[in-house]
Amino acid sequence: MAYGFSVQSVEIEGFKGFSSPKRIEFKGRHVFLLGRNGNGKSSIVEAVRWGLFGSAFRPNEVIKNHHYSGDCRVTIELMRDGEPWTLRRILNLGANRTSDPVLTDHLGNRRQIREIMPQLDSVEAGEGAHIIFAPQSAPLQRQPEDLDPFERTVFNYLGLTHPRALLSNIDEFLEDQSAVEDELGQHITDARTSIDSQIDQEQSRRNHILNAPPWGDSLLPSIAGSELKARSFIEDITGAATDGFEGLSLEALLDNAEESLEEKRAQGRDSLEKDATEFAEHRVNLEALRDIRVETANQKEFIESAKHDLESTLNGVKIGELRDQLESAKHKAATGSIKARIARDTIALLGREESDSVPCPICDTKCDRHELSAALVDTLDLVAPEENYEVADLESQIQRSEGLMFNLNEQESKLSSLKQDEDRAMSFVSDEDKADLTASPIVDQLIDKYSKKEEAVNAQIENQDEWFKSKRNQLDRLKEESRFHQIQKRLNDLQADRKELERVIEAFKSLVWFGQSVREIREAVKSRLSDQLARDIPRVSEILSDAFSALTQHPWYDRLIISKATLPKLELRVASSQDASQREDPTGVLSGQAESALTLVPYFAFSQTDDTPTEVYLVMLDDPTRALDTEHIKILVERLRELGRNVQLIVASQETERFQQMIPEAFDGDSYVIIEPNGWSRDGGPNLKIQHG
Amino acid sequence: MDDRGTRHASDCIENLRLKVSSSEFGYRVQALAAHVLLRLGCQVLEINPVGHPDIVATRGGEELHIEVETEVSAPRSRQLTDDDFASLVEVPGVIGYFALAISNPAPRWILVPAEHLLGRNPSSNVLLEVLSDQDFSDAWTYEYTNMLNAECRRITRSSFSALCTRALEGRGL
Repeated sequence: MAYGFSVQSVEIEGFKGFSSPKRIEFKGRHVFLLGRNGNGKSSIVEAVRWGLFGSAFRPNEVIKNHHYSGDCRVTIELMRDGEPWTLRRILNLGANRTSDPVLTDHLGNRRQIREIMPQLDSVEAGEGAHIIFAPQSAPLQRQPEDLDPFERTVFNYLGLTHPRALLSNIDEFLEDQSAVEDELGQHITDARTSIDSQIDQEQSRRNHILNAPPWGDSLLPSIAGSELKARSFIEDITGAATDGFEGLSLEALLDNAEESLEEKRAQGRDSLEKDATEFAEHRVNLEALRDIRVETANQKEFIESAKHDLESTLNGVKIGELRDQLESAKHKAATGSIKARIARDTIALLGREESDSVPCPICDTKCDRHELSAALVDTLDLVAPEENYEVADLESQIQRSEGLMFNLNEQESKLSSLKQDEDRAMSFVSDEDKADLTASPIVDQLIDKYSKKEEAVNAQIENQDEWFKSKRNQLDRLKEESRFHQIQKRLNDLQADRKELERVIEAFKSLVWFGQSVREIREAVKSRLSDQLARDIPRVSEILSDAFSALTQHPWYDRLIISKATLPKLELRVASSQDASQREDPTGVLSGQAESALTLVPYFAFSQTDDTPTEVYLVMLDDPTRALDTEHIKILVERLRELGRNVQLIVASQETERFQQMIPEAFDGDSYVIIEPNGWSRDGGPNLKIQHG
Repeated sequence: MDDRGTRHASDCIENLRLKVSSSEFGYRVQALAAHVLLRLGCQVLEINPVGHPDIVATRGGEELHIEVETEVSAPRSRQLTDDDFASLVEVPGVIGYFALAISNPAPRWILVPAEHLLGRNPSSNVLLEVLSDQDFSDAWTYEYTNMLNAECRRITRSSFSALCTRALEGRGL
């Protein structure tokens, strides 16, 4: 115990179950904290640990006693070469919950902990070959340890903690680096594929234009040149200067050009088409008028002829007179007819008379029946045919005349209709033409005049269409030129992007090669570490095996073997000296008790053999007797006795009775102190019963 | 190589790709890689359609082990297995290369010294390019393109085994 610092006392305030400051005197002796779980013994171990390293197993915010309004503070008094030192740590209650250690020497001067205790300052909490802290009964509540205690202890013992940490950190870095390289590489590859594909497409479009350039044999136009052409085109179309188009892009200029061209085309064509339509209407109207007039003349002739026929038919008699004659003739015929019927009836009657003398049916005078019949027959033969013939003639004459009159009326009606048509047609004739028609009604001349006008306008329309077509072609060529410029611009942009991407690739290259350098460094570190371990591991395995054998006294497995095949991880295997080739995973073959003892092996092993102690030569064991029976507890205490010759022990255990019994047998009375937490109050924290040896 | 030459070579390899199945295309490109090695002054000792490495060749006093991978039409995940990789790096005195054949938009090769792939998987093309032997890749691409331009008909008509036989006998196309 002549080396380094020993712990003289610890003062705990506001830490876990502790409230107001409580000082516990160790005086450099071994400390055995005994009692049931949950009574505060582990809190003392943790307080010492936090005081030394600034970290407990639980996060910092948990270590503060929230029922206590004062600071969370641990003050450890240390002794080295007879001089007292103080290490004080206070929890900062800020966002990051850090703590700052303050180390003062025996003269009260503040000293840099890094300067006085470089080892202690450099090791992470949970590491350190001689500072141990086995998990208690609820391991899930503890912070996970990134290193197996065996590895931590072995590396620390061999002084290889830093190379191992370096290797581990490099691996962690390389894992991130690889992920970044993969992701970035994929992004860059995708971007390059996309840009190259677009460049390919644009080049193909550009080549297509260059195969039949719209600018013909002229030199490749610049954008300014194309803009000049577009302005000139607009001026040509509109006949006005393009001053108002200053600052417009080529595309906008061409849009304007197209709009102007369409406007001009629409205007010119509308006017001409209107003229053409008007002339055509005049022509058609006049042609209709001409036809009407021809038809009217024909109609008139026809009517004259009809009138003549009618007159011939009537033969100077008016149709009314004919009708009167007809009525008269019909009357006569009717009378004759009655007479004839009477005659016939009388003849028939006379025929039926038997006597020759019969009274006349008219005058009732007695007449000779035969004579009377003869007279009646004569009457019948003479009268009836004459009347009938006259009626028939008259009716025929009247019928023919009425037909002619009907026809005449129809023709006159048609003539009247033609007159109306002519009037209508005349209403469409211009006043000037009307005068011409009045003066010299030669319609054909007018028709010819309008036909010629119509032809002239149609020719104008055709010319204008040709002109428009030519301008349209010119505009299309300008548009193709514009498209060429756009393609060229896109190509330039894409090539600029490609160039930029090349710069990104260069930067990516630097990143990758930096990673490669780190990989090489890793290989070098790993190689050196591997060499070092190859030299040291057999010796370490021997030491571990001895401690393991002594602690467990296992009937078969008495060898511990460390393998470096999976660096930076070390693998622990158990074997038998009788058959070293069979190496087993300890968890698969050891009992729970032996496994528990196995966790203590490195600390016992190295604490006894290390000739170069750390600044604070202290072993803390929290509940090392888990799963141990009385026999193994005896072995443990015996080993602790041996260990205690070189280091100060702080041991917490539930095995109060057995420890109470064994400790006095194993340790000198003035070399230890037993502390039994028994009860707790909110204001005073744990009540500690302290028993000196 | 001018654009026309590259275009012609591109058409040639594209025609071959369309003519055969994807796996057959991979074999053909492997055999063509052996012919590229011939053109680069190497002697081809082995072309392994199965197993690894894909090609064994000598260049001066050096032995080259080459694993060939072919991008059929678009980038895809690499098929380099641990055994493939082991055949490139774990034989003392051997120089191993991972060779990636790309067909689109232009035929080219990326030759990555296997030692540069230690501890990583070959992933994106850009990453492989960064890790590649640029001069060797350029020389390989140059010979490959020239070969496609000059021997397109023979390349598209020859079977894998015929191509291999000629390469192993030291006869070019």
